[in-house]
This record gives sequence, structure tokens and C-alpha cells, in this order.
Amino acid sequence: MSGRWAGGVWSACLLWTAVFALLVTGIGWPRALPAAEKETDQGYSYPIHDPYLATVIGTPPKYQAKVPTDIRLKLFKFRRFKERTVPPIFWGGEDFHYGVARQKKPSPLVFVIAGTGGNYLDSKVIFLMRALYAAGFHAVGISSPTHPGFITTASTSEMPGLPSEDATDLLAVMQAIRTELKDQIQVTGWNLLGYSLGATQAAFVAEIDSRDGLFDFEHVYLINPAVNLYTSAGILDRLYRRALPKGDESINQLVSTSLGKAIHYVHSSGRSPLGSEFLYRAIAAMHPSDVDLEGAIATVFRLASSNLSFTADLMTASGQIVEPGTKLSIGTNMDPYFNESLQWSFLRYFDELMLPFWKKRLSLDKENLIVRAGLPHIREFLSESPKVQVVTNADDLILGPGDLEFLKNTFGDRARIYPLGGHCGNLEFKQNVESMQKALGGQIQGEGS
Amino acid sequence: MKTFSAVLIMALLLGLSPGISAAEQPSPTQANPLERWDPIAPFNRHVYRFNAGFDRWVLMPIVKGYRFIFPTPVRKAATHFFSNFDEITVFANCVLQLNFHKSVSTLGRFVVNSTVGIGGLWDPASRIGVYGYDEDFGQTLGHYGVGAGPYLVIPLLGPSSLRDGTGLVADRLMLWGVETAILGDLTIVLSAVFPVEVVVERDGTSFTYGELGPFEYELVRYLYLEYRAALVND
Repeated sequence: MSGRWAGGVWSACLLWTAVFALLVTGIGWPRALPAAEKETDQGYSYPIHDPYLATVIGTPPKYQAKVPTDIRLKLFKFRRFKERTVPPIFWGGEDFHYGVARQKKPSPLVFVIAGTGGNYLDSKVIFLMRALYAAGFHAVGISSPTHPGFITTASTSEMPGLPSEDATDLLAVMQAIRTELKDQIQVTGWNLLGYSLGATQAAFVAEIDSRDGLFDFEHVYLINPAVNLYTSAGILDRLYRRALPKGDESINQLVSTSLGKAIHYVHSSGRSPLGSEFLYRAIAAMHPSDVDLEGAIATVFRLASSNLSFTADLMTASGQIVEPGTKLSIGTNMDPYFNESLQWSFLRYFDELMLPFWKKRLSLDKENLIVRAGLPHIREFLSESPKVQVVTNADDLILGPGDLEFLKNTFGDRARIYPLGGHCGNLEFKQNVESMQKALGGQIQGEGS
Repeated sequence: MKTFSAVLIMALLLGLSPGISAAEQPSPTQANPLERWDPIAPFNRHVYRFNAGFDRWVLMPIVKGYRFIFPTPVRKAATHFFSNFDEITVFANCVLQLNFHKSVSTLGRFVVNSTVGIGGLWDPASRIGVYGYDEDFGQTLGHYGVGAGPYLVIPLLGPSSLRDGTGLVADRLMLWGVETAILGDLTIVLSAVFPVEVVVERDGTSFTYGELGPFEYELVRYLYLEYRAALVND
């Protein structure tokens, strides 16, 4: 229960945990429970068989790998573009921020690239950093190049989405980090990991690195990459239109019903809605017929594409959302921009912001852009480089027709396809974590360590 | 209850009576269903930023020190201790809303936790299935049809509304009145530990300003008001 003195920020937080929690982690756990005891034919015991449910709630605590909470995490920042000013409506100012889990003794390091719209403190990033720290690595969390913080402080074009360009920015950032960490930690080798869009970008980073030898990465580990960005954007767009047919009005309905249910749960159980355990209990207490998993997924991705579109448009003065030259300060009424940005899907971002931008600069037409925004563009490298490994799930919902076959054919025995897990739902699952630790050459923890 | 009526009068003066609030609140004409009425938005936006700065540079460093010094069980006990005091206002508001079930349950909690739980240091009531409710005077006003009124970001305290902000003051005054009645001059001691309560509350809250990107203000406003509406309806 929150104190009476502040209905304010604490309630806002509470509602964060409650809503976003429910949006991100969704509603409908009971449906998955019966599956929990089953083993799939491949001996893979991840408990959730519905890919949407898996995507939304991830791995239940009971099935998660045990990872340490104290990873000697320290936050750092640096200025990449000295001359650039960032409007104050963005929170981080002009500095690029990142986090480092620091081993005490000389150890190999892993860069972790966040997924679509995620920042360096995203729960998935932190989880991966913990798992890597446990396996004996230093770990560096880096925001997604599509996160507003990255766009404003570290993106050269300020129009992310073209993997080769994003990879160049990522490499520049990693080099700056390497320089900055010289006095902080001793690094014995460099590795790279990304999930979702971050995995796609990591592949391009590895490709450039194979030619430049800047880091000479030992291992590159791709978790649930998008194979073709345009295909995945289309899939998410269709999901949005199907799950939220009335657009933001549907989001509104989804949020108020989820909130009502969350509060009802809190009142009937007396649980403070803080901490991840709450989510699973709350979800367990809800009725399966209330499930709106697709709506929750679509909402989360739409918020990411809104932030991305708004930020890129403003920073490049493209004039699609914000009139070029408009000064946005802390007191500015942002509602019109918020309203407009919510109408921007990834597909629309691709068509109406990225395409005109790159057409002008690199004379790329739509076909070129689509081709360059996918792993097939660097197929040769991926098929030949023994250091790059990929894991994905047969039911990953961002993969289009033929994407799975592409991964199998290109990576061969360096591809591991799990039968279940949706999009990144099994990232915290014990078996997945152990494979990851092993693939990167780390120590594997025993159970309960 | 003397302070209480004073606060009620204040609420009426502030234009929070059901009659006027309905006329006062404009019908939502916005294109975006996530947008909310916010007539003093420029002020609110600046205060939101101020609060973010305060949280980052003043409050959170203290909270981190608190976490470093005290082990989890101690911090848990501190949380229970303060929320036990809150039961007084929760109870009063359950009574005001004429909710018999919630009133009895809250009173039971307070008695059990204050005695068996040694002054509220832990929460045996929950163990025997007597759970807590979240009720406050803002919700009581809402219960009787008072609209949220304009959105308000209160310096240091964060998102609120005219109704809920008023409720906050009312609850505080009432708690202070009860404490004075019971403890007399010792109330001053409780007032002195108020900053501690702030730190304890913040410790139990996982929220970081600025993580939601350029539309954080709009998202928090929307979610806050939806959350409060859901609480009123509960």
C-alpha cells in the first residue's frame, strides 16, 4: 500500500508496475500452466506453448536461470558529437549513457545491444548482463540505435533503421567505450551479443569488424534476430491493426481494463504491486478469457515506433511530425506531437521517413532499402564466419515466410532453433542461458549458484 | 473530525463539489483518447522536470545510502510501520464511503498489526488473510461523484489532480489530528520522522524518471488518471 501523503509519483510508479507490467507481461498465465509439465518432443521444457503469451510474459521465475543481482554495475557517459545540441524534451542531454558490469580480475567482455526501442537499463539487457557476469564476463549494456537516447546522442544520421549505418555508429560507440574503460577494467577479449533488432545490428557490426579488425570479436551471439526488417515491420503493423482495430482508442480500452483487473487483484490479495513476483501472481489470478496478448504486444511496439518516428523526424528536421525549426522546450505542449506520433507504425516510419531520407543521401530506392535492411544482405559473411551463432524460436512472431529457413541454411550448425519461446520469451529460460554462456566461451553456473 | 470538516469546506471552496465539477470539466474533444485535460500544463511540465531532478540528485542518493546501510528485513519493517499509520486514514475513508466490509477489515488489520505486529513492524494480518485496501480522501470524493478536476503535478510529490491533491491535504490533516489526540505533544516526533517516511516510500518504488522517452509526461498523466479512476471504481 502506498502512503497517503503522496498520491503522486508513487501511484504513478505503482501504475507503471501494474500497467506496463501487465501490458508488457500481459494477462493470461493460467492458459499456459497445463503445458508447464509437458516436455516437447525435442526435450525442451520451456513451459509456454503460446508464442504471444511467451512474448508477453517471458519466462516464469521458477524456470528462469539463477543470476546474481550484484554485478558491480556502474553507469558511464560520454559526449560523441561535441557540436550537437539535443532538445531538452529528451531526458539524457547531449551525453551517451551506458552501463558496465565489472569483473574484478582480467576477463573477456561482452557488448549487449538492446532490442527495438530498448535502453541500456532495459530489464532484458540487465538480465543478460547478469547472466554474462555470472559466466565470468565483463558486460556492457548499450541502448538500441532506435532508442531516443541513442538517436539524439550517438547516431550520425539520426535516422536509424539501415543496419549498416547503425552498425557503424555502434562500432564508434564501442570504441569510445573501450577507451573510456581502459582504466576501469582489464579486458582479455571482445564479444558481441544482441537480441531482437539488436541481434540484426550485431550481425552487421560483426561483418564490418571482420573487415576492419577493430575488435576482432571472438564470439558473436544473435538472439531472435529480425531477418528482414521490412517483413518484421509489416508483421507488427498487421498485428496492431488486427488486435487494436480502433487504434489508440483500443489502447485506451486495453489499459483501463488491465488497470481495473490489476487493482482488483491487489485488493483481493493484499499484495503490493511491486516486484516481478507480483506480475506472475496477478496474471495467475486473472481469468484466461480476459487475455489480450496481441493487444499488449502491439501497444508496446507502437510506443516504440512512436518514439522512434518522433525523434528521428525532429532530429533530421524531416517535417513529417514536427515543423522544422520548431523549438521544443520543457514547457512546450507536446500533446499534438504525441497524438501524431502514435499514428506512426514501423512500416510508416520506413516508408515516409527512412525512405525519403536515404533516397536523398544514398540514392536508394525502396527495393534497395528493403534489401539492405536484412541479414540476407550479408549472407556470405554469415554463412562463412564460424564466430557468429544464432538462436531463435520456431514460433518467433516477427519472422516471416522463409526467414527461418534462411537462418538454418545460412548458419548451418551454428543456428539453434528452439521449438518454443515466441519472440525473446525464452531469453531468461535456464537452458537458453546455459547455451548462451557456453557459446560465448564462459563458465556455466551450476544450478542454484 | 474538526479538521475534516475544515477540509471539506476547503474542497468546496476550491470548486470540487460534484455540481460544479461536472460543468467545469470540458467534454473531451481531443482526437487522441490517451490525451487528458490539463489546463495548467506548462506549470505541470516544469514541475515534473523539477521533480525528476530532485528525485535524481537528492532523493535517490539518500535512498541508495538507506539501502546500503539497512538490510532488507529492516527496510521491510520500516515500510510496514509507516503503512500501518496509513490504515487510520484508509479506515476513515472506508467509513466515509459507507463500505462496511472494507471498514471492518481495515480496523481489524490495524488492531492486529499494531499489537501482534508490534507497532506495525510487520504484517501478521495479511498472513491470516486480512488484506489491506488503498483508500484515501481523493477516492472518497470520487466515490461521491467528484470528478478528478484538472491534472496537477505537485512539487516533490508528483502526479495528482485537484481532487486528489485536496484529498491528500485532508488525509494528512486528519492523520495529524488523530495523532495529536492520541499522542499529544509527542506528535512532533512523528512529524520529525516524515522525511524518513519519504525515503522509505521511495525505497519501495521502482520507477526511474526519463526512461519512457519524449512523451513520458503524457504517458504518466494518462496512466495516473486512469489508475485513479480505476481505484475510485473499485
